[in-house]
Amino acid sequence: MSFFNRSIEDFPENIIADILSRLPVKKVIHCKSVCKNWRELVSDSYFVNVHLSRSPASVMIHHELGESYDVDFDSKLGESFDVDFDSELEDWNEPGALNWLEIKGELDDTHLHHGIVMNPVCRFKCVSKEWHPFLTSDLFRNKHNRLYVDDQQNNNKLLVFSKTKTSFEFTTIDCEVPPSDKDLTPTRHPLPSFEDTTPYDSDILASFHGFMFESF
Amino acid sequence: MSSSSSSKMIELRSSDGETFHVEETVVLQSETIKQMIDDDCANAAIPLPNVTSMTLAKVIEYIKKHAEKPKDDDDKKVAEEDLKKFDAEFVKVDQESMLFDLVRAANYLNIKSLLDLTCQAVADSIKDLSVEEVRKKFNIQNDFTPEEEAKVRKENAWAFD
Repeated sequence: MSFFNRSIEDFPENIIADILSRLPVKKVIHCKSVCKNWRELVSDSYFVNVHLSRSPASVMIHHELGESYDVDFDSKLGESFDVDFDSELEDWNEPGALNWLEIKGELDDTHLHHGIVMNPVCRFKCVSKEWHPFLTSDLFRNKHNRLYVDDQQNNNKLLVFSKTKTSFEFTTIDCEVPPSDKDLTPTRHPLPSFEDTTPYDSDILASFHGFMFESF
Repeated sequence: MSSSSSSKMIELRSSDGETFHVEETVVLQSETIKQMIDDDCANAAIPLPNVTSMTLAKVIEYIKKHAEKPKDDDDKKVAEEDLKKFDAEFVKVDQESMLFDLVRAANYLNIKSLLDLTCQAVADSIKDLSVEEVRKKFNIQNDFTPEEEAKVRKENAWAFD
């Protein structure tokens, strides 16, 4: 007797979402190619939020190596894998889910106008060369290993990024603390404005747990 | 029958007509049944047309175990460990269809911890499968054209390495 004599499709959608939201990012992406229903389900903001609420915040560091880019996840909790991506920026706009990371900010008085934003699903990124030495420094690693966004009033937020013609914009919505972070004291930073030098039409890019910082 | 007679017994009837007697305090873990009791609809046997006797027996085994109260703090630690072990064993069912039935029952009866446990077990059972294996296991028809499927894969090529 087969496990699913009755098709999984007769499950309520929220149950399928519940099950799939427990999978690691890579597997979730595999699920996108299972069938159209699942592709829609996984791309839906409901699913994104459920998955995010289960995902540990993790830091991903983006290096520039010669002509190619490599991405490392720096997280004891998250999966660690390399992503090799080309620099075709037109491919950015696919809205996606989850488990990614965002970095951007100011260091001392020097305004760093590029940051790094990377979402392994939508492959959204922007990178600053100026950041690399900083991002790989112990200072950064130690301070920002596991953070999530917080608005300084103890409310945990999910960031929703969108890209406009001239800048990146984000809004925040309430979210749960990632389960594994519940015991940690959140580190709070103000949410800085976000800029980029390669503007496109406005699009919702992704929502995610992540973190931002301004300066030390 | 339980020896602790202080609690009221509730009668549940499975889809195949079998009746089960469970203490009210135990059965309150089901939000659905709790609602029925609150609405005073639990004076006669509660019919559960979506749950077979086999599944219901498993569910009752689960909520009974989860209703046990440790006596003191030392006991509490032991009990927590014990419960973890119980949960791990509980989802190791012989027939995978049972796991699926448990998900349905947990959803229908609205027992959150059981739903968490069983959904996680289903997720664990598919996390190492290929796309094709997932389709097979879940009996899902691939409704992509070859071109569409290639496109999805290309867009997310890094995940298919």
